[in-house]
Amino acid sequence: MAYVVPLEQPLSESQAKLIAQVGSMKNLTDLSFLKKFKLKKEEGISLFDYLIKVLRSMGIDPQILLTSFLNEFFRTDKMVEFLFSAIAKLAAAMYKKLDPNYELSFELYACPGIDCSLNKSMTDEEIVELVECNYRWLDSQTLIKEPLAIALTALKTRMIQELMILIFGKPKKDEAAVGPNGLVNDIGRLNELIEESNCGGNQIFSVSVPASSNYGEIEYNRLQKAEQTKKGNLSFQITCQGVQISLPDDPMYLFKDVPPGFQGGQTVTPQVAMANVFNYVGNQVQRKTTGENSQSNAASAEKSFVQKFLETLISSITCLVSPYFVGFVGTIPGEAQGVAPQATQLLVDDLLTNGLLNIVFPGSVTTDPNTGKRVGEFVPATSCEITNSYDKENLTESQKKKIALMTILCNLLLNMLIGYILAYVLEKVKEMIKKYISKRAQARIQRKIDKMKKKFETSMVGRSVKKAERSARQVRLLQTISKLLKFRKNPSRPMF
Amino acid sequence: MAFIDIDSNLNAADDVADLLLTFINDTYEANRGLTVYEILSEKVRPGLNAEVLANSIVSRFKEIGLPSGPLINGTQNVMEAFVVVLCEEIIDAIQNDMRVDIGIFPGGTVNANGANAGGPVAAVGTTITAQEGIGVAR
Repeated sequence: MAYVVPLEQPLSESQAKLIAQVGSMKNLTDLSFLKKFKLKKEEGISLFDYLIKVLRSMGIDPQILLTSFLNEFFRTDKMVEFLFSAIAKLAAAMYKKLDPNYELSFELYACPGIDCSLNKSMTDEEIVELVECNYRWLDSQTLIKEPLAIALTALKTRMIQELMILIFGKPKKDEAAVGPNGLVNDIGRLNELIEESNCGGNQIFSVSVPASSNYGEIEYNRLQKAEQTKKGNLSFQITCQGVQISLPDDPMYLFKDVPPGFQGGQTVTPQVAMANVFNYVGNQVQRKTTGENSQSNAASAEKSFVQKFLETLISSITCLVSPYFVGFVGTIPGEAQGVAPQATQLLVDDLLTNGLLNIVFPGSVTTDPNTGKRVGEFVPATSCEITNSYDKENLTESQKKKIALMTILCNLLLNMLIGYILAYVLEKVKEMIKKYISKRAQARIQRKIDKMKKKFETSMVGRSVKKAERSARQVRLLQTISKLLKFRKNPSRPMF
Repeated sequence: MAFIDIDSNLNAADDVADLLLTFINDTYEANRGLTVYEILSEKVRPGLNAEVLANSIVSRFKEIGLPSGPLINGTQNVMEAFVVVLCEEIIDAIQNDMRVDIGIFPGGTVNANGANAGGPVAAVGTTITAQEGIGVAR
């Protein structure tokens, strides 16, 4: 085979220049910042995810903020505010003005009962005015507000217990699931929660803009979730390693001020209960992932669990607070009994039996004699009903009413969360900008001083130092040759 | 895809990003103009020098964790060479290609002294046309 001599094709200066210029022009046109992306709002990143990204880029751990929001949300006054806001919005969606004495700035369609069309158009300002008017009226109703606050104070920790079932599924032991020492007090409620756990979650409402997923994937995920719930396990993916955690055999110790294995004790606040649950998850992951990384794995699991906890709270908020709206089916939990003076206790019992909807809109909720379930136009549909039989694109009037409260509650809670994070981000960004400006200014001044110093040293000081050095050298040299100079100055004078 | 959509008012990631950007952009203040005396006092400026500029950039390499001087294996530090080439080209372009067009608003005060057969003449007035000029960046 002949030796192939590589071709040498040297380019002239102008040829090389053209190739370089054309290449740089091509690179420039390919640069991503020159391409303008036009994304539809609903296709872009959700505000919640974006704020989490901003926080992470600022070096702030979102877990701290999310935990702080959860602690804030479970304050009784905040929960009352949340439930009242939902009722006020629902009433506005029904075109109902709750305060008969308040004069609105616009004509409100007189709506008989609660059977109103949701399609009537009102401007955004008019809706805000109506919602505010309704909220103010609810807030002034001491006979509703006080018993609701008492009931929530007694029962809010139970919401965390129910959230455990939504996340982990049914505890392995029956007595840990239902009963006086169980997470819920009746089997009907347990079934409702398990149903919600299987059909609810991200399928109903997601804080993230969902990736495009087809029906098959949704079905597959639902089956996987059902399997997980049945086993009572929560799966974590930590550094490519699957970790499964289940609730403890006696989960109630997380919600009582007694050590594991002991009965009785007082119910702790939701804040303490959440801290116990987050610690429990971290400890379990640390126990299951032994080795050097177990501690960091525990921390990372705790972080992702806080977010999962919060996302489940938002997507399943309707199921969690529905007893307050439609009344507790079955027995009222023991914690709410005997917590107030007798007159107020009667109001508490009435609220928990009939629900807020019936108190604010009398006759809006009834009990189905066959199933024992609460029924009514605005009584929210269950997640399984929605996922199995509702078509999002073709909702009937009655279906729209059945998801109205759900839409309001999920968005209201997300709104509260975003408001909480956004206020923090704005404050931190302003603080960071201030620090950045002062640091930049400081650095700029320091650089200027350094440069001036350098200039001074090289020009002024340098010149005088050199001059001084030169003079010193001259003196030294002169001293050495002074004798010669003396001799030259006066050659007739003898040297010695 | 979730059954219930996020409220359109809560889909405001773009608006939030724009708002935060305005906070950041607000911090960049435009340079204020110099007065004529400030300009005249700057006559002592030495002018641009590619070597000095390159030196001061290279001397700040350590602030951002870049090595300066020859690399560990003795190879040439191409980043330094790049900075030198970059500065030379930019300064060369500024000093040889850049041009400074000057526009002067009408209304400048004019004091003139002269003389005619009647004796010395002093005149005070204002320019009535806009003037132009050329500057060379050094």
